[in-house]
Amino acid sequence: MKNFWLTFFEGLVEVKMKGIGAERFINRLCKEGVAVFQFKKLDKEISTYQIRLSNIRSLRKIARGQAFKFSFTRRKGMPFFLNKLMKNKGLVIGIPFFIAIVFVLSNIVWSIKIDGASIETEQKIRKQLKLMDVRIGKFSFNEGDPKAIQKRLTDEIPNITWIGVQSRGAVYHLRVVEKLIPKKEIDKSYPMLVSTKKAYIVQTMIETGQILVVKKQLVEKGQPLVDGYIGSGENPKYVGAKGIVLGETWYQTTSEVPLKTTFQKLTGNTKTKHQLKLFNITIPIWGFGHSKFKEKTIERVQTDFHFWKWKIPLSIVKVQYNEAVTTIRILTQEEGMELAKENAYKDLLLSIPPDAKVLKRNLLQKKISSDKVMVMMHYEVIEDIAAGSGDEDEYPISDSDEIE
Amino acid sequence: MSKKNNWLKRAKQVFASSFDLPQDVVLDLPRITMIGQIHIYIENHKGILTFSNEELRLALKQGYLLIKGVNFVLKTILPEEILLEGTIHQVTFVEEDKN
Repeated sequence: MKNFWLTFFEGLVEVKMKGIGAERFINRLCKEGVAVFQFKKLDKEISTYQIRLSNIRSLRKIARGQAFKFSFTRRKGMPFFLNKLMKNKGLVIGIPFFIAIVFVLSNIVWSIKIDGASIETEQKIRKQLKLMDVRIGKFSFNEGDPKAIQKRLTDEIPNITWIGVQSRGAVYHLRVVEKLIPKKEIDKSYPMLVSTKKAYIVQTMIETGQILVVKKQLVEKGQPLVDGYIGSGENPKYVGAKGIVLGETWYQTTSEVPLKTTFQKLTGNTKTKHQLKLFNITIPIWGFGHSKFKEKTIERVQTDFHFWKWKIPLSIVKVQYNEAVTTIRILTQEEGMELAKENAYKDLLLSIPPDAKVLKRNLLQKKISSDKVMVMMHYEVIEDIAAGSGDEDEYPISDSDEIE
Repeated sequence: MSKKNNWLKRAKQVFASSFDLPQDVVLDLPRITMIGQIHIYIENHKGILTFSNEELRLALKQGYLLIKGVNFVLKTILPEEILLEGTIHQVTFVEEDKN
């Protein structure tokens, strides 16, 4: 049997008919191709049935000259529903307007939360975000890619190790891990200062405590340098060890440089495409055709749209093709050596404290083969080798005073 | 019914059975589908004779079909098919010459 749910869209009219011989009239309707639904006999004379809205004309034609009385008692279906709706214009305009407003508001940055950063860093981050045009009240899909924000923030702000950017609808949530810059231990006193590494003592600058080493002495790692107690015997006085011990230490770094390197260089020519992505279908909206670049790198930035707090399966994808040129860099052995030394020095600077001084650098070993240069460098560095040992709180000065 | 008609009918029957065709197509018979007591669906009818809450008479090629029950509503009426809803108590084929 055919389905008649489509009649809902066409519209149905209920007819109430008064007169004898309704069956014959229905048969006539059928012959004319008018489908009749819900035919009911209320009593001998009165019957009701429904016909399609578009069939009213045929009904009128057939009814002409017949002794029936007609009345239309009900109207249902889409056309009538729409008619009713049009009477409530406010609703018709209001609902899409409301949806549009929610959609717009859902894609605006409402707040930026920053966790784990000190006040200064937070201010720096907020300043940087402002420069990047990420601020409250802006559309998040302009500069909204969290990954891009993440990258730029880590690049621009020096004292953060890691930053996680999450956009949850209208809220940006930034979690920050700051680089731990150790506090200057010089202001703190310890029960004992010990050596952090094997070194020659160069200079001692001690504020309090008893020095246990002399200049030019070779100390091993962990060897005590300054004692927090002064006076020997059974009742030493605790004053706390505090100060700097400069020692000469040694570092070795190895660095290898290939003489022939291939790498991709971007020429600066780009082609950008914008696509609308709905579920898994991508529709290009700007930038057509294929890029003619022989070699290229592809950058893809996807911005999602939100409705309320949900991500809707609609997003804008920006695809950027960057033309690249593969270049081969060939170094002579001398250039290779220079570069390797430079790299080794850079490596060293990363591993020593920032206030350390590099005294001397020596080439320990070099290996030159047909395709690479390897150097092993030896550095003499002067740095503070003293480190506190034992917890200060365990030996509070006032307590030791009482002991005395 | 004339002798000639009878002969034609028999010929059609033989034709239908030998070629394995559905009988209703060849013989112009109604095809009736019932769903329990609540629905009856008749194809290939020849128009409504009478209809009321308790009774429906449907013209067929020969005679008519009498359906009795309660709360009858004709859900759909199309030129060749009809769907009746209600509680059906009996379906009877009535030969015309008897009436």
